[in-house]
Amino acid sequence: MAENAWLLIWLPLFGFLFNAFLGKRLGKGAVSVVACGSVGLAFVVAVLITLQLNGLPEHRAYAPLIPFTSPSHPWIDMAGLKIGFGLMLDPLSALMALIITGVGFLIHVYSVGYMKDDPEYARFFTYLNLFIVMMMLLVAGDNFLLMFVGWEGVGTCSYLLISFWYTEVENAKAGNKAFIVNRVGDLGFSLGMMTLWSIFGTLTYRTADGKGIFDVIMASANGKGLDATTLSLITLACFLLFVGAIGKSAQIPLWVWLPDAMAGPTPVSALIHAATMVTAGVVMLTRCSFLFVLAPDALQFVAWTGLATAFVGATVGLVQTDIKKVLAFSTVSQLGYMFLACGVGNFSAGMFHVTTHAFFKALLFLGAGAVIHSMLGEQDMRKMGGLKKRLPKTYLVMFIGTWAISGLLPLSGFWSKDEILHSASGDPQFGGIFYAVGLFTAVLTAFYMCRMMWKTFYSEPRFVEADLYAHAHGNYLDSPDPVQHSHADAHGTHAADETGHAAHEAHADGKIHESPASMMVPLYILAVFAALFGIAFGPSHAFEKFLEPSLAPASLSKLAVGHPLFNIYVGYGLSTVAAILGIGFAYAIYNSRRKTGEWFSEETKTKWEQRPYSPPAFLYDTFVSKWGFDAFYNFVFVKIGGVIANVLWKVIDNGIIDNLTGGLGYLAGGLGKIFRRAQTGYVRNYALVMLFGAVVLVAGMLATWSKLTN
Amino acid sequence: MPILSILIFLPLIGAILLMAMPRSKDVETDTDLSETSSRKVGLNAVSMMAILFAFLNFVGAAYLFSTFNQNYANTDIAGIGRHLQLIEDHTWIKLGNIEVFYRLGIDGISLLLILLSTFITLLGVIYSAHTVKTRLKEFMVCLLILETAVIGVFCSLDLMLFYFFYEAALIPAYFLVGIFGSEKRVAAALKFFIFTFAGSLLMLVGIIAIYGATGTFNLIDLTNPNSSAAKALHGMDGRMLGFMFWAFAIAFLIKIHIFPLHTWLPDTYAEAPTAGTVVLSGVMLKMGTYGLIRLCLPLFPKQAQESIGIMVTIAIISIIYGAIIAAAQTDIKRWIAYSSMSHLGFILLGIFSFTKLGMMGALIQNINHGISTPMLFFLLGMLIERRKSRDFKDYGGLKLVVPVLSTFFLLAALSSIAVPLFNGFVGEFAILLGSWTSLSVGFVRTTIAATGMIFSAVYMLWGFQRIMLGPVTKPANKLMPDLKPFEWAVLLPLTAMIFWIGMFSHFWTQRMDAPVETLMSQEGVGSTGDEDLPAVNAIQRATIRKYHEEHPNKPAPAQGEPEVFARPGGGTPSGGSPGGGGGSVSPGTPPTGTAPAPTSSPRPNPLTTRPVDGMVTPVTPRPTQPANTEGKR
Repeated sequence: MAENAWLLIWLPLFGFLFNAFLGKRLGKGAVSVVACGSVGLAFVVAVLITLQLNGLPEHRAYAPLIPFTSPSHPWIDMAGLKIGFGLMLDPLSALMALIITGVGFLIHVYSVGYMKDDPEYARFFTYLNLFIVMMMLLVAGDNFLLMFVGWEGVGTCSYLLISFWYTEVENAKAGNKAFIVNRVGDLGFSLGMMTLWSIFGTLTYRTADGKGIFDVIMASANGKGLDATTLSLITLACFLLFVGAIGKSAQIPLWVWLPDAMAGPTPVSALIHAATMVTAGVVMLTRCSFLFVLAPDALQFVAWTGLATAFVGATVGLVQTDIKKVLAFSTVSQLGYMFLACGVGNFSAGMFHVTTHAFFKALLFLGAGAVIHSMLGEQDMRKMGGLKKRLPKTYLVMFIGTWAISGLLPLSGFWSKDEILHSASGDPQFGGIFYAVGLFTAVLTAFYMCRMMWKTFYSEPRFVEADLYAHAHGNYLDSPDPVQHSHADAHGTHAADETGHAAHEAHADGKIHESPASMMVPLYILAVFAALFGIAFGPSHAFEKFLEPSLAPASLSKLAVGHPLFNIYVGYGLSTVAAILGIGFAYAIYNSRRKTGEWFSEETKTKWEQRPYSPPAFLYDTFVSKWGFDAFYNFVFVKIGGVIANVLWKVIDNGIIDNLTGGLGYLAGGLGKIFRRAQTGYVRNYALVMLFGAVVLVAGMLATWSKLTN
Repeated sequence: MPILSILIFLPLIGAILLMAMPRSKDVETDTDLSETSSRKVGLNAVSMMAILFAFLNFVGAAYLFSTFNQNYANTDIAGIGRHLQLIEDHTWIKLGNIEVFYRLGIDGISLLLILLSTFITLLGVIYSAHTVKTRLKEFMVCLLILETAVIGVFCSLDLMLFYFFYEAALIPAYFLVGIFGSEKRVAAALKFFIFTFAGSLLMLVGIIAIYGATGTFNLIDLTNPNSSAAKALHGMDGRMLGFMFWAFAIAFLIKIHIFPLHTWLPDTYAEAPTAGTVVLSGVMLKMGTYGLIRLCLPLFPKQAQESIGIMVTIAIISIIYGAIIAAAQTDIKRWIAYSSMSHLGFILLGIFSFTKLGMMGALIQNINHGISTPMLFFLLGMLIERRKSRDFKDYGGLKLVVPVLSTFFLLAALSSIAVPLFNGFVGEFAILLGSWTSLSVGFVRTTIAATGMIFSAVYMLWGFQRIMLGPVTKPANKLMPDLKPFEWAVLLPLTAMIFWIGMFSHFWTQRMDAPVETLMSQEGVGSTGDEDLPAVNAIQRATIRKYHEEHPNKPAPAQGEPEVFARPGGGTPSGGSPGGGGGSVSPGTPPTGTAPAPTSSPRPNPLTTRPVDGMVTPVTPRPTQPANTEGKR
């Protein structure tokens, strides 16, 4: 099967093309079947490939991306830059393929229910399938440039899906922000690739004949090691590549785009902004473990960035009121954990957390989507409450998700998070700090997740059901009629509009209801995985062993080796205590405030507003303002940048440069006016000028002549 | 069959026939595209004739492309003349002992540009046939004459002939802007004419100076280092050669609107009619880049080396300056005009990175720019046609109204942003990689230039948002019709090209391998002969080693410790190095022993690979082995 790995990409690609060109015409049924079916089939292929990997030498296979060609079939081949369309299947890419197509398939199925009223159903699934294509390229390509194709490709899909409901300017702006902030990271990624190319003269990871980057590193390290300059350049490359990861995985300081990205439909948040795309940074670091273990400085930077992001993300998550924003900041924070794991050299722990996080965070997002769906589009937790009785099934899956992410035995999150904390405490220099902050963040995590549960499910309802109105999204819902009429001819949007309105009203009349089966079944499946994946593969180290062939061997590592602070069982105990602490706090605070669902009363908040520099007020403000990142960027890049652009344009370009060059024109015109006077019409004047000219000419010739003869 | 002459003069014949035809009746009423009934009348005879000739020429160019022998090499000739084929050579003007030849010939570089010119002109003619309402005949005549002149430029191997065609292109372009443009067309046309004409005159002075020194206009001779003409040329006073280089260079830099010679650009592009802007940006502009590559580099290799500092600086300024100003525009055509300036900055950077990869990237980016920018201008033209406004404020939310047009717009924008698998990426990445590995540009300046990646996303997406996304605020926008068949006909081929180049770039670049190889390995332009390692690698390693030596407190390279950089399988990973042997270097010997170590720099910087006299040292990294060692593809 491995030689047919191109199916992993071509199946969703077929879905993409089908939905893009025929989707609108063939209707929602065909779109759903093709979109879900192509990803489902790709999942089957991924399973078959994974099963086959064990029997292969070094657990690795090379396959062409273009069917029936060789893996080195050229994409770019110019002046020595040779990039092939090839795939590399190894445990890392197989694992990611399973997550992407598996979780992706479930989310596709979920979307069938979630998006069923949207008039632009086909466009949604077109983008979703394209996303799967790009994500597969990212993880399965056999060289950095193909990874970059996927890298920017998923960024583009993310842009398209965030601004899916583009008639709201805010959504469009969120899409722009995501793309542009990611571009900053992509710049780092490309410069990193250039550095690698200038060291190795290739961008392929490994090749069958041992000429890839990692092959060269392995070969030279098995000899007498790499010289200092090469190591310096590798360190530079690692830093630059990590800039790419910072952007894509929403780490400090480029994390600002991810919360805004929640503007997209909820399945998108689950698939792209939780389960798969944002973990691409971790995947990339793991893929580059051969490089990073040679660059301890870069790894330390990774660890600190991850730690800071985990902590800061969790603090901001404490104060969010939008159910999706809580999960968004939780994602930021959990990604920080994954980078912490990579930073201390335990890449498999990072990937383990990627995997469990994909399950429980997709579960939480989809669960939140079900809540939002049931609440007719309401996302504000302050207007929820009491949903435990109304939505018992949704409550159950959310409960499992919260349990898993809080890191309480025995669900998945516990095993992966504990593995990370355990290895972080083993850092010889900063093990203590890493462990302490990591553990404290775990308390915060448990707290904000339980806070969300209380606000949504346990507290008293804070809405009047009859007053609920549909916040239904959709580009054709609120637009004035003329547009639709002008449209009726070509695109059938008129009909779509009516559907939208009909849905609108049907919803508003009904009661709060559980979501349809197409949404609930994926949730149950994810819940099973979120619950059991960790205990199945964590304690036995089966996951670690599976991933090992993709990782740099310990012999290559230049990292200093330390010892974990505690015995693993003490660690288990401490993690459990941390989780219980967080849950206990939440219980103590919110259980007695079921009425309002708020920790702080309105009076307290008013008091804070009056005295913004009192410690609790300051802390609250800091968290609410996301530590000031957004304001800072807005000021520097939007405000000052706008001023600079206008100054450059109006003052420098139109004012100075145009006038300087235009001034030459005036000069010519002025000279013309002067010389016009020479055109007197008197022959004697012309003769005089001619004589003068002739004299000058002869003199010049003589001068040149004498120069030449000398 | 003199196919080049046919390609050059076929449009001219078409133009003459058109002139002989009776005037088509002007469309008096302002036919609004929004009326579904408009333009039901078929194309008139003038349009048919123009389309026929443009199409015939495109077919001719495609035939030329398909039969082109990319492995052709005339080993008797050194220099770029080696790969020139389909030579036509006749005496044209004979005045005393001054002889001007009608001498044509092409290599892979000109081939692609000819194909591009016929392609874009055809699309321009098709589009104009449906949209130009007054003096359609004259419009078509101008477009066809322009095509003749431009193809003439790409084929000329005689400096005088080159100059003739180069100037001839200016006249129809002037009329296109001055007669068919919008309100301020006359001022814009005048500005455009004066600027480019001033540049051309400088070039004429340069050409005459070359003739004065060598007695020939023959480009093949002049660029053949073994010929007497080239020896006479390079025997001239260095300062004089410098002036001559700049005379040529400024002419071309004006044409490609590089900072600070760009002020004609926004006015001209904004005022010109749609097809005019399209051919200006897609076709005429290419004469500038082509001139730099075909004339400046091979005629004045040493002077070109010396100019790297200035060229790279203005290239980087253009990239960033153009991008920032593009973001601030309120006029949709000026928006793309300034973005074009940014793109041309990349191309100039690629050319003057003096690496094969950078040059190749610049050449393919030249083609890419000729596809994505015209496509954007077409799309803007379609919007303006519908809305009669160039102001961003008058648009907004159009995706809801014209979803198909909006999709094409997004594709063109992504191509311009250079997202991978779109055409822009291949060129941009090759340019940046070439310049990153170039001794004469180096890490720092490449990084600055690469921020253009971010800026392009900023101005493109923001502009796209302002036109296409958000709610429909203006009532006038609500009745906009989506694409008409002729607009599909224009946009589909361009979109196909975007992906064809983006995904299968090898198909297009392979024809340019040989000429680029020859150009960049020419003495003066070419590199030192470090065949052992990728030279760039060697140079940068040497620089960093030097840094370590001068900063002993930092982790220094292990002295005396064996430095081994094993390359399994022998040779460099980039393929088949003959001398590499692949193995280890003996202990104590730096693996870069054969590399030119950079001369000492007053402020060593590990990230700067530019040595102090890097401007004049003819060292060019050769990241790769010559393509021809691997057999012709």
